[in-house]
Amino acid sequence: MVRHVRVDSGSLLAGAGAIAIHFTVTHAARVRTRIVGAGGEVTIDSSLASGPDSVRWTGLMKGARPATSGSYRVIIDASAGSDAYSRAASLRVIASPVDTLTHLTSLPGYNLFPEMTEPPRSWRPFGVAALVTAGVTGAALALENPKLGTPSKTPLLVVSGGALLIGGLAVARKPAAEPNTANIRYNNLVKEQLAKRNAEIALENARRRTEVRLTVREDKSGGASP
Amino acid sequence: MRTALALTLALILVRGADAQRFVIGVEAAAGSYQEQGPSLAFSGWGPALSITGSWRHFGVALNATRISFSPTAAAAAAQPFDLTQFDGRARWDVSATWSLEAGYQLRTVSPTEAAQEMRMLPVGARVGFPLAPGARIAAHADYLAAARFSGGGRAPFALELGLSASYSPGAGTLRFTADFAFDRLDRQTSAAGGTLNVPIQSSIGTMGIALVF
Repeated sequence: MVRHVRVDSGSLLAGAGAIAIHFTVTHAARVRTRIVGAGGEVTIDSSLASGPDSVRWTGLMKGARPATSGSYRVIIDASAGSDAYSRAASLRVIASPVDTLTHLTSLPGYNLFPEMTEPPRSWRPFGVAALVTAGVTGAALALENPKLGTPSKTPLLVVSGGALLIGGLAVARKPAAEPNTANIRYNNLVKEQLAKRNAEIALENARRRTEVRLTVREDKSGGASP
Repeated sequence: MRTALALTLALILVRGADAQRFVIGVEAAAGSYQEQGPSLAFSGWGPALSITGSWRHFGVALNATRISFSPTAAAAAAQPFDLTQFDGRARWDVSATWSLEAGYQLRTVSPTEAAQEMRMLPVGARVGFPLAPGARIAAHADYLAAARFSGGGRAPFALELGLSASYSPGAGTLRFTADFAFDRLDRQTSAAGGTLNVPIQSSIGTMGIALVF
């Protein structure tokens, strides 16, 4: 006789996980375990058994299709010679899609850096202004015709002073933001990794969309037949 | 009148060429002028007007300056005069730093006998450096080709050196400008005994403000 048919309740990915079906055979017999229900019928095990035993159901029905939501019965058929016994337990199966992963908008732990940064304040503008002014002033003085005496230096001094003042103002001015190549390179690496990770997520989600999560619980109200 | 007409025409041409940038400025000019020898030395002040336009790698700059020159103390016997200078130059930016330029310069004086009137064709190069956003400095050197003088003669050696600096605070609509140009013309005239050297040199410095469109 088959006794104590019991199904573990739990959740599993159809085809990937399994739930256990326990039973006890009082005498050695060939035991065939079947699942019958809304999704059809499938034999999940056929073996010799004696005493307490268990088999595992992966949630798949005939044709390796995941079980659909509904009521099922686990039927344990035991036969020894001309004697045949059968016992069943009721199951309630709820099929649901597998959760997919959300795409990432940033890599955890990696922040993007600004690609345009202001260079540190520098005296270079004043240096350039001083060099150019000195160059032109020196050349103009050197080019003066000595036969004409000493000309008025007012225009030269006024404009040279103005040019140096502009150089000084340029130093004081907030420098323009420039492309930061190191930050751009780092950001590109992070973006590449992010795109790679999102591609992996998309692949994983495509796989998950083909999977079914099953929640199985024994339905005590369904009763069992001898 | 002729200068104003020329400036207006240039303005129309520049705007018609879909200028990327158009700048009009007014300046105060200081100048010095020497001719022939230490006895003919002048210095003076006056107003100036400038218009520049740029389009892609090309630019046009027009300047009109009027300076009232007075003899310096060492040349008290000389006669004061007013100089009106019109200068137009076309620029081609061959790189971010270097430009080639060519133009035309006309100087008239009143009264005409007080100094040499002249016209010439400046041809040269300009090198410019950005100092900061809205701040720039440039130097230029030009050969003053085909110089012609009201008193006759020629100037086989004629050079101009210049310095320009500009600064735009804030959004850049307003610009402060400073420009200097030194001209040396080794003028020669024919005399009974041969060639006579009557050199001319002048410098004009301007400082002012400009509006950028």
